[in-house]
Amino acid sequence: MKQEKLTTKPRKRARAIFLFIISLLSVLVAFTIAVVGCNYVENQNFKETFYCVSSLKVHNKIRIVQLSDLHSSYYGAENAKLLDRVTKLNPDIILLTGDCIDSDSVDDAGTVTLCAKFTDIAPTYYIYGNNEVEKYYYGALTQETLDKKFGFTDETRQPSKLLDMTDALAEKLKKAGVKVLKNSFDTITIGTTNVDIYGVLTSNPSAFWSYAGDSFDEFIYSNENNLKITAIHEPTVFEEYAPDSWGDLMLAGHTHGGHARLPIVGPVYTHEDGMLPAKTGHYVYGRYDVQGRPLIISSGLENKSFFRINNPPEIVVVDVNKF
Amino acid sequence: MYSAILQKIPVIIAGLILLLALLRIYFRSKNVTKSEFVKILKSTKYLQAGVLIFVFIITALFGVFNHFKAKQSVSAIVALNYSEASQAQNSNGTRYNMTEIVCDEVVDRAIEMGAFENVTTKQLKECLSVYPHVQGDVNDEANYHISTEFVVEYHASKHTQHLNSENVIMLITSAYKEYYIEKYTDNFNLTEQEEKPDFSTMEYMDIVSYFNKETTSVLNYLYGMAEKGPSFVTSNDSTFHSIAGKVYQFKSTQIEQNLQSLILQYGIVRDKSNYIDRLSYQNKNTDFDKQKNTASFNLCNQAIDLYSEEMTRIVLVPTWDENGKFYMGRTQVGIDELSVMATSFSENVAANNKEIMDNKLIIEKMQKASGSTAAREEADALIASIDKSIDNFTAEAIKAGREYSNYTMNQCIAVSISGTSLLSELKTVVIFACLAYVAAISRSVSKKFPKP
Repeated sequence: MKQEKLTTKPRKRARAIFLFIISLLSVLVAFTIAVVGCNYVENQNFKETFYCVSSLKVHNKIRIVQLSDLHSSYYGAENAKLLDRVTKLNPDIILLTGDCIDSDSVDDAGTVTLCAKFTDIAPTYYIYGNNEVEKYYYGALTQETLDKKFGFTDETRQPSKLLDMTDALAEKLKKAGVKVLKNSFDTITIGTTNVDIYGVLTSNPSAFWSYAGDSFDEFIYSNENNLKITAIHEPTVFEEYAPDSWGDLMLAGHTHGGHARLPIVGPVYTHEDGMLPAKTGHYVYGRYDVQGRPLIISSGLENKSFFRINNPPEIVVVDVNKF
Repeated sequence: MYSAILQKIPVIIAGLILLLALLRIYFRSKNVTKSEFVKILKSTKYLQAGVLIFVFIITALFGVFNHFKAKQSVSAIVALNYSEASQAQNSNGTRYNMTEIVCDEVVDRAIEMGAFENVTTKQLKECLSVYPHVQGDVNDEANYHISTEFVVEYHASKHTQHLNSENVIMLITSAYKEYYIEKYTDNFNLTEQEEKPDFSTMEYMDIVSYFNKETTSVLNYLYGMAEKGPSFVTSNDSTFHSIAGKVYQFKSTQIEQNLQSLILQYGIVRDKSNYIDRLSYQNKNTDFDKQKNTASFNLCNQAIDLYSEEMTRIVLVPTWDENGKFYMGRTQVGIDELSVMATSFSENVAANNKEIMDNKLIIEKMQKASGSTAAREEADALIASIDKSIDNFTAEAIKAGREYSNYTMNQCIAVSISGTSLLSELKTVVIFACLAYVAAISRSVSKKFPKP
């Protein structure tokens, strides 16, 4: 009798612990599903993030709206919600900093139509990201692949050969009135302020300096009184190189804000820098100071991923003022 | 207000359950002995799976709810970084008013900047409050405090909960900075921006006067700025004094010597008789002024002569100078005033004389000279060149002024935005979890006591 009591008590306790753990796990799983689900629903809308930047070169306030990493996502029919908010924000310049078209998407018509509508609001600039490059240049534009493709060596390299290549998207965008910046810059006058905008095609760090270096130098060292905006899809370039100046304002995307952002932990993952990139000092999301000038990295507008947690899609609004 | 109450409701419910359970234990424990009481407590299973899971679920729900509620409250600190702030003044010396941070104009601007929809200025303003970061005590002299840091708080209401709280506070502070700099810092317009006159129809000597007026206004602006920032160096390595020096040099050589001399030398005039008539008329008027000034001067002198000697005695008043040294100060008497007036009238007479002589000289030159076409063309070219140079000097002066203003005012208002910290959120959640657990266990224990 005494022996029976001894065996049943631990068994009951083990069963209770087992049930408790199972219940706890169920709750955790349910909680995770709820968080992911809520985030997915929440991500079907976007937020606006405002930044204020000062520059002595500005005589009047300039508003730049940056849209990045749309990945052929939609906000309402024909992106009506996005278009409506951009219209209401009343920008002076609209900058699309790459990956607005997904490399796997079959059609680019939606994005081209959206860009055409943007041109009615303000001058619109389009910079290619790795997805556009893969889709329209059939592979990544690294120094190795480009040199191999054109048969260049370090001595014979001619960046203009790459820029001479045309692609279907650029043609469509140009027709729609969008200025496509491929290792080139454009000057625009807003009020009484002259603004130079430089866009990079070879934003892969390996090919940036060898293929975009000359045009970037021309951009930086000409019209030095103009406000200089440098738009590069991949922010890694800002970590790899340190020229005299990157301009007065730098804009980038690509990182998707680290996909998920957890309390204390911060951004969880980027393709280039792996897990917890912010902990290792990489540029992932938000505003950074690079050589005394602001670098703003957008978390992008992609809304199809389930793992985009606590990281809503965003439109970046930058107000450049004289103070 | 309502959201803060809503946030506390789960904590209040848990607290109520705990209170009721404790009351039940208190009333029912009257029927049990001390040993029975201890036995009940000892026999209680404190790690009940059901209770733990229940507490876990409601804590998770509370955590999520609390997180969303916390996101609706944000605050910012607006710090004034200019020297006058320590005297509760704006940078232009007027009295500082912290309520301007959330005034209608600022809120309006923020709504416009953020393109906020479905919210009125009044509704947004109601969600904002501002108070000094460090409160002094007006009743205690030792704790008088002029605050240069102000906290702006935003708590979303039902009308504004669709807005992103951080965006709201960021745009409010940004709009305030814009508003403040526009209202209280330097004015960059050197002159009232009048439309430029048409030089092709204007008399040549009038053009000289116009140029003189323009350069003088640039000089006045530069001297004014130089007083504020004598050592300030612009991005072009210039100072206000060096730019003023250039403008002064230009004024005396190009306008007063070259252009004026050329016009007088060749008697360049668009309508000779008309212009000479005008100058003659001016001389007549100036002569009247001269006569009045001379009469007033004579009158003052006569009055001084008539002044009784007894009345000219001065009174010495004991006083102290700025360094605290004692001296006998001399009081002003009537004759002093008369002598000052006489000097002033005498100076006016001299000025009138000079104007008349100058005009006579111009008339004489105009009458003698022929005003050849070549000379006229030369004067026109010089006018165009001087006009362009004045524009350049104006632009340079404005640019220098802007740079100085940015140098002094760039950090005049610093803003730091802070939401509810994760740690404080975690603290609230942990307190709630503990409370919920104690309440649930107490409720379970209270039921074990026999009913009276």
